[in-house]
Amino acid sequence: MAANMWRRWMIGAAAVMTLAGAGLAQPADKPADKPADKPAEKPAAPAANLPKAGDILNTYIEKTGGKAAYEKVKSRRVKATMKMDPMGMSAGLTILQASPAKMLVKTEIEGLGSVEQGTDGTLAWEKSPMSGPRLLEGPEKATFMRQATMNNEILWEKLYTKVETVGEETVDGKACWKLALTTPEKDTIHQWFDKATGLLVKMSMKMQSQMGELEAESTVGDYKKVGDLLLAHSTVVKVMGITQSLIMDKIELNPELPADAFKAPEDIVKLAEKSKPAEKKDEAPKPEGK
Amino acid sequence: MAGCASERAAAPAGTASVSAVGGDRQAAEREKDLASFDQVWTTVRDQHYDPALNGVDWEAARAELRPKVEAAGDREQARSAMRELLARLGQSHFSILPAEAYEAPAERRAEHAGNSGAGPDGGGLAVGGGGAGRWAAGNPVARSGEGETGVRIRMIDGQPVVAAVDPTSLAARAGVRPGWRLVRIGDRDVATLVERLARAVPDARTLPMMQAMALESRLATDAGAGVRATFEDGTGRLLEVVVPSGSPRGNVSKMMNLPDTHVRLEDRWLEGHVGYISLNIFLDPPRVMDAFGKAVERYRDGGARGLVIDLRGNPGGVGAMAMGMGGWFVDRPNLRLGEMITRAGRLKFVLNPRLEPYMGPLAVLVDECSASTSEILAGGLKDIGRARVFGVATPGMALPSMIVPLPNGDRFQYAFANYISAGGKPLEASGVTPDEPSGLTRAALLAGHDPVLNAALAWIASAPGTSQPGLDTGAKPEAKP
Repeated sequence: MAANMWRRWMIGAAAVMTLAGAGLAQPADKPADKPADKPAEKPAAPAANLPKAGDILNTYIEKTGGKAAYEKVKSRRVKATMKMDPMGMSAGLTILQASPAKMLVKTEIEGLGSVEQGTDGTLAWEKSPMSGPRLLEGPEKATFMRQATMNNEILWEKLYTKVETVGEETVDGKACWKLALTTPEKDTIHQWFDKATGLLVKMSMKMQSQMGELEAESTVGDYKKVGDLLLAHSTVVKVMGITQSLIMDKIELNPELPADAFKAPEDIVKLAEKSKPAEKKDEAPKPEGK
Repeated sequence: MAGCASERAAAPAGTASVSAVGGDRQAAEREKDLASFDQVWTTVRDQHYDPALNGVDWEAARAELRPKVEAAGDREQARSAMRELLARLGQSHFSILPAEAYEAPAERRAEHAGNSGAGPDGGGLAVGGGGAGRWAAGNPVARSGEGETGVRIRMIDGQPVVAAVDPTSLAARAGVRPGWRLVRIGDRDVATLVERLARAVPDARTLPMMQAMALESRLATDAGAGVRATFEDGTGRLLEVVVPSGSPRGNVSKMMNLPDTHVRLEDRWLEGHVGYISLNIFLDPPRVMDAFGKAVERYRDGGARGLVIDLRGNPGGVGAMAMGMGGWFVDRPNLRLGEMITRAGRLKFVLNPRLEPYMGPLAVLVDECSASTSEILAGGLKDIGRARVFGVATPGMALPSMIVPLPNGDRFQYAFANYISAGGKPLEASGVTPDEPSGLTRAALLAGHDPVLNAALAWIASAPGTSQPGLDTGAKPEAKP
């Protein structure tokens, strides 16, 4: 769950320092185009005789504590630290989550301010000093709601329309099964599970945001026991050539959360009210002074 | 970055003989510079939005320039080789920022002292030249601990002229006036620097910016000190003035790999019941976005007949701030300022309509020093028909970039995306062409006018819907500038 929380911050961070005057390259002669080398992708093994994806996902559930242990978790509180060392950026995260699908992610980004994303189970929103308040909609909302779903690890049959094992690959020296999970929005998420431990070690997916889609790849690790569950405490994400680390400093299961923790802020409620009639309109923008 | 070691291994032969040339340097320092060169080279190869690297033979460039780093007698020579490498791309937002630019003022002072009043050739501030002042190549925005003159220099008919003087500045108190032509800094004719830059920067679009920045940078020194300069007033008289630098106004922004920078958002009522907001740089998002929103609300609620956003001299900053600001001026979703294109994909610069936006006439002022995020905001609002742009064509330096540290302590800024404005054209190298190109003239400045602002105010006064009864709430324009 928390492993996916970097995504919007990552896009925000990548979007971007556009400061001129720190230096200026001089124009140069332009010889003929020369294509850059592209690293070849290692293809997955053929799908014949592969174990069923459902079995691999169920093994993961068993190895991380079992369905019954997950079902006992009704709320979570996660404190995490994100770092993009090369860019000199860091952020502190607090993630609150409650059954069935409520979530609040507060990200304090050094120098950029506080970004809040949340859902009360119905509305999904974002508030940032950059863009102000806004509602999440479409595929972006669907992805966020899926992430907000409590214990989504054990609900794969409900959350994905299709799961299949598509091959075998080696990830950081570990032999893995590669799975493809199809979302109701017809996006494909790939996951790699260590054959030896049954644990999830890598994911790749399209990051959905208001700004667009981006391919992201993350490696998952540092599994530690929290209560009856074995949970990943480290994620390293690569997107747009930027590497970012997310460390879970503290994960609490079934903490008592404030009753209004997931209540939509007032301006979000107003936006939701305003957006209802606006959806029916289809007016062209009104140019000024033309 | 992970490729540094392999790039070193792949370096051209001849290292040993070249190293002898730079034999006085500590081997460790040379290694750091070589690692920095490798990082720069590899990052551009892997991250540039155009896999063809703008048509540059990157391998050949490394083969030619890496030996220069190995042979460098000092850090500055090593930087020059890296800057030469980046210059081959012929694009904005590729630069080396010296480590000294990040030092505390006391550490910097010794290095900077040689510049103070020493004339335009003293500090190596020319494009590609280096030196630590004002971030490598002359950023007009003061860093923490650095003084600020409040004097804006612009090239008018090929001559450097005082385009504006902050009325609260020490320079204004010292008598510096708009319209004066800058003749000398110290004992050196500024014409020398102006010509040198003209030779170094063949791009006519960016040259005025570089000239203005270099001159403004040389006029500035530590707060409390001054730089001797000679001006020609409106009557042709030569006046020698010590232009004092004061403490920069605004809040210090500390973010990412940028040096600490003073950020200033100011707003006021103008004559004709028009709101005015100016911003010197797009940094410090929490404070600036809050102040910007409150200012827009104030003018909206005060019934402003129009709003002027002044981005003259603003070199850019955090690109996402343009989206947040633009959201105050649209009333429907799914509008965008433009789109950035990377190797990995496309990201739209979307405008989120605020709950109660300001929908009156909007004028944006730009000049030859309004770069990057300024161009993204001005160009995007113009392209979607939401603002009218006044002033001088912008330099076309609008590639989204990031800044990362290098092994030798310097920082490396590189563009990782192209930016296409809502109108469908890249801003890089083309910039924003104002709807009303109302450039400055010496005569107007000497007469105390701001022709760009005046043109914007005249348009607002004549804009449809601004004179309907009841719009004017009777609020008085503030007397202070």
